[in-house]
Amino acid sequence: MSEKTKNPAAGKKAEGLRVPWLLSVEYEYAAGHFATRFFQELRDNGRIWGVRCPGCQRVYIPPRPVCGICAGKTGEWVEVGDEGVIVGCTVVNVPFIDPMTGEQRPIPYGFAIIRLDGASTALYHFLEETDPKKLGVGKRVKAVFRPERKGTLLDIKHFRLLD
Amino acid sequence: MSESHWIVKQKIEIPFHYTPGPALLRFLEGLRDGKLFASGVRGESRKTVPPLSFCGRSWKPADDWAELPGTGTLESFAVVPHGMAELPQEGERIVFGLVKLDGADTCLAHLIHTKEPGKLKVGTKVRLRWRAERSPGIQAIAGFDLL
Amino acid sequence: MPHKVGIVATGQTKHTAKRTDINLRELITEAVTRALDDAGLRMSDIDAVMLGNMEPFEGFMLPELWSVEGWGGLGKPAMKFNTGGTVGTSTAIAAYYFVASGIYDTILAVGFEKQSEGHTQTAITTVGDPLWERTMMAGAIGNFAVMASTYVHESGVTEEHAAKIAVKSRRNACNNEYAHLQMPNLTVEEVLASPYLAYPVRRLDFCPQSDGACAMVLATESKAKKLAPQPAWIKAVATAHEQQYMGDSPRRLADMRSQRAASQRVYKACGISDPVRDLDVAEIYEVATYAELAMYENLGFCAPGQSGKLIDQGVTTMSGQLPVNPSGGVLATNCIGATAMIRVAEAALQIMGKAGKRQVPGANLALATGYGGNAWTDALILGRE
Repeated sequence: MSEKTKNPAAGKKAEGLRVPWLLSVEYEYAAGHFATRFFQELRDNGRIWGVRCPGCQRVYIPPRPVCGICAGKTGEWVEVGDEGVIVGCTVVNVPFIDPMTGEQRPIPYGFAIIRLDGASTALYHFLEETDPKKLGVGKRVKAVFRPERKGTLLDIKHFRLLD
Repeated sequence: MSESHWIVKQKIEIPFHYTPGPALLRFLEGLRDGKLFASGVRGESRKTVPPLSFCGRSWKPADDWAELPGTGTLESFAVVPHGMAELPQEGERIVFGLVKLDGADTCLAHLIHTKEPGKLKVGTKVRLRWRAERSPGIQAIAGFDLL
Repeated sequence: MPHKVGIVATGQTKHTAKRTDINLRELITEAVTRALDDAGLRMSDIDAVMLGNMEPFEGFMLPELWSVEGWGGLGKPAMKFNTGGTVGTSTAIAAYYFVASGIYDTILAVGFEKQSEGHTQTAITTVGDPLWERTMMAGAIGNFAVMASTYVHESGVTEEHAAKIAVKSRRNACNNEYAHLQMPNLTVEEVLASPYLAYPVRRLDFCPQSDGACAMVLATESKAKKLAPQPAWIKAVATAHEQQYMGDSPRRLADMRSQRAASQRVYKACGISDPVRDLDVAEIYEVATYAELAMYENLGFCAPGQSGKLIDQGVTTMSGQLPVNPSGGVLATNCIGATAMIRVAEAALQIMGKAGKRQVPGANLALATGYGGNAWTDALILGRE
């Protein structure tokens, strides 16, 4: 429990029909060795890897142990490019609280599903550009890495439009 | 943490609002004013604390109200070696009990104040102690003292 | 062979942005009481209860425990479901299974949600994988916006097509006393003037967040015939899933593999080859205007890329060949745990001839769908026979 967790009705007068309170849960998430290896490669070498399904030949990012289409084991690790193409994108203007911080996420921000060169599936990530007129399905983007990497998806700061 | 199996520490934090509804609101306002209310269905003897606005057994409105004297009987209890952050005696030993209130058919969960928890028994008579400064919440009650 | 199952009664709250007058338990009681009254039943006539709700929209886990007196569950067999947006249809389908299998004769199904108690987009963002999509997700709005951008690019649907859907829904909602967003004078121009929540989705392209509950009574053939002059018979049900990561199926809105699979399965079971011709009404779980357009394709209402033409021609309006969402749909009301069940209840009202001002005359065959987590589709066909 965080320090912010308080008695629901503490200090509130009864005329308020709605009682504010905060849910705060800390947890430890087991990444599994596919994600662990992916994020180690990202941190140590600045490289992006997927896994290939020997059945349908799809290259999956995020990497995972089983292909959902073939229901068979994946296996071979394949390095993919740090450039790719936007297959869907948006610029978020609606304010909302980020559950990962408990604070409002800064807006506007752009994000997209991006198919990296050599991958079959596409990855959710931030876009540098926040003008929807400059964005578009089919445009090419490139990963911008942070100088100091920690082994999270945010080791890639965002994707930048090419040309 | 193994280098081949990372454990990632994260949190989820979401603010909420709770709507008490009319029966619980009356109960909460009663706590603020130092009064303990129970409710039941008219014509039935059963009373619940905290009160319900609607009885799930008889499927009728539970709008027959009663003010309780604040005395009761310890139905069950647990001695907890370390209190939690939500409770006033954080870090100290606490006793948590279910008290069957006189005039009601249900139990209220709260702190039991005693220096000798070893002597507690199911069936011990207790009396509610109010806090001097009260807001409309369950912590308007400081707990129960032994009679 | 499964037993024949009929929906004999429904009950809804007046869906609204904030029910500050009552708590969640009392909200449930309101819908349950209306459904029991509709059937002329007492709680003691109910054999079992199926509940649907999506945590953590209200912030506490297992709300069905806390609210048990509100749905009359003391001592009764009961189960709770949480499948995201589909939870209402999953709960209805579970109730159907229990009656169709002969285990119970009369079942109460209840979906409920009090969106006003939490932060909808925040809670939905926790659906995302904590290492991957959660970091970028902006609730359902962001996901639908990303999916819509792909669909717009490929299908050629325009902002005007989407705006026409928004107008249709909010105007239809005026004929539904339970609907949240009733906007009798809404115009395409107003929709196009509303700000972007997330490009290309504007404020009026997206559903509201509502407080509401919906309850239904389902019964075996012999009981159903006694309880209702015209039960809504459940003729087929299907549920289908999709890979979860958004990028696994990049053309998610255009492809919507789970929706194609579920709808084709129920069509086949009912001998439906041309849904626009064979169905009389559809209550679909659309969430956003662009989603409804894409669903026209996925549900076989039109050929790929033709959804804009379908709304231009008015095929899915109240006077068209296949009215879609006479109730106003999700674009008018979204109390998530109840929303998909409202689709089923509204389809049932159409079949029972009890839909009032939103009645499609002579409705004989109806489709209801649920859609959740950008992945899961439920589909049901209800009929008079």
